[in-house]
Amino acid sequence: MQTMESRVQGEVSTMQEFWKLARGAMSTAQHMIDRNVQSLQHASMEQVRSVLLQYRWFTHYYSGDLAILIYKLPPSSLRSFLAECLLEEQGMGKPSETHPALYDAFLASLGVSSDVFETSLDPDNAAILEEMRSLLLAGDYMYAVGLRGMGAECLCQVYLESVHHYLLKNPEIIARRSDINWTFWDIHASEADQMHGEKSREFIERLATTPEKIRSLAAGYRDAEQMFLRFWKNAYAALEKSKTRGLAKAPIIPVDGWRYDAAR
Amino acid sequence: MPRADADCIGAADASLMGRLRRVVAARPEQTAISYADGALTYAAFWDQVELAAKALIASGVLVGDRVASWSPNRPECIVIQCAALLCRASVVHLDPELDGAEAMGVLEQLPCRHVFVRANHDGKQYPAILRALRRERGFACEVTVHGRPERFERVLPGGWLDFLDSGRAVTSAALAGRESANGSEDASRVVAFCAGREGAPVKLSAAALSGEARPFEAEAAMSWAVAAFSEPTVLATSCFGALLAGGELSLTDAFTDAEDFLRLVRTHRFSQVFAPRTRIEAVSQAPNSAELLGNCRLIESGSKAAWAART
Repeated sequence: MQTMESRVQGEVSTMQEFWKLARGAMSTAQHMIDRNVQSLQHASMEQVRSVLLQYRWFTHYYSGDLAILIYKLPPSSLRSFLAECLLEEQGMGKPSETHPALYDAFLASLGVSSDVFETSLDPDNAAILEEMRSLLLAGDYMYAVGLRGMGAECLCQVYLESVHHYLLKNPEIIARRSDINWTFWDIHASEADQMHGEKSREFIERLATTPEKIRSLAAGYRDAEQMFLRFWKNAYAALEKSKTRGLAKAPIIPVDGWRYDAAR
Repeated sequence: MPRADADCIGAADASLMGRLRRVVAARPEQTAISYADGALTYAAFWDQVELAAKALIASGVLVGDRVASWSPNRPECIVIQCAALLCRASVVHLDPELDGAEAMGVLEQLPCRHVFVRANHDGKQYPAILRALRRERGFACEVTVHGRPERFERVLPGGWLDFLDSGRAVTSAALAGRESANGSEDASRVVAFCAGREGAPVKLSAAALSGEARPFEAEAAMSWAVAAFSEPTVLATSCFGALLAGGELSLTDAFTDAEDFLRLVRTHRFSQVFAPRTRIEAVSQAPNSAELLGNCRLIESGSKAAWAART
């Protein structure tokens, strides 16, 4: 694994340069022409289920990563805002309304059996999620903001919008649209999440007060973008891979040493 | 609440809104519109209509302006249509199944001052689609969202309740002045556009709406609008036909199959249902459909060609 220092690249030192770098996290444009995303409109239900099952794990890891990010941040608008986001992610006190639970309800309404939930993670994606957590713990707070603040709140939001767009064009989804539990998407593909992304960017800009912080932010974002796109590439290929080599059956060993369980 | 006697616009007013006022005054506590989460009495419906009309004026909508409604069938769609009639504007009803690019195409063809959208329906996120289009294609129209989850209603900007509240700054005299501007209502004025996937939007005049509604006013009907308001027949006949008769308009849309549909018809005692041809055919083929339907009329919401031929 590369060290933090080797990941920091010097060419981004102003926020103008950073937003240019991070344009993939601000607009759906590049994701809407991504062939993998576009493939969802014609994919079989088996493929749709397989792809979306992988994303389940991204959602499950997100709360813990958000909590770590909040822990690392200094007192700031971003910290308070992310704490609100975490409250929302965890269902505001109602376990059935946590976003992982809502996503699982969506998967179940697509016909995914809950029996496969816990054994569905592609080993390469497991490695990505664990690597992301490891980097989050090790990096400085601006790097962490780039990795999970921009990487999750912003990049993920616009990517999900694109996924949602093509999903709604899939004939098999159209046929069962009114039977699907869309609550997760009513949050994550909605105007509310778009506005969340805008707020996140505003608060991130308030923290990025020196070229050094911006460089760290950029390094975190670059790593997030690479890992995020690799994650989704694996997701689109998961069905084919599962037929040839099978999915991870052994429990995942978490890098932070904490016992793994479904609620992480 | 309107008074049917001394109100000079109401009593002698043969306009759509004049006629609706008389219905409201005669049966204020009767259910006008029922939907999944509740119901509106005629009085409550009219109060919303007047407030929405004032809010349209407050938001800068002028005589002859257009506003748009992009939503599955919801009470807010009818409130906006009636509010537009009161303040001499017109409504573009967009098919809720249009995708973003198609909706933008209609709005570019028929520029509107204000767009009203549903927060979401069966996975579709209307405001998010419009926001994305705004970023990419530029779109300067004001947007109001109805049907948001309660925790967002007064938090996110452009909400339905905030829109209605803005109408409180406009006086009833100002609304009355707008309604009577340029004399009595011109029956040939286009008051609605129905924009679907087929061809150009269909234009509905006040006369057409009124004429189409009349045959259904013979008795107070329990009417169910299954097809969208972007179908001209549905808007004219199911919506105004039911309301001008003092009947009840149901917007319940949740049913899984033909048998479920027939069960709902019997439970709610619908006297007429406005639905697309495919639904009607499916229902007709269900076992015991004739018996279960009883006296309920299934009325095809119809193609634009059928509407054009009839009008």
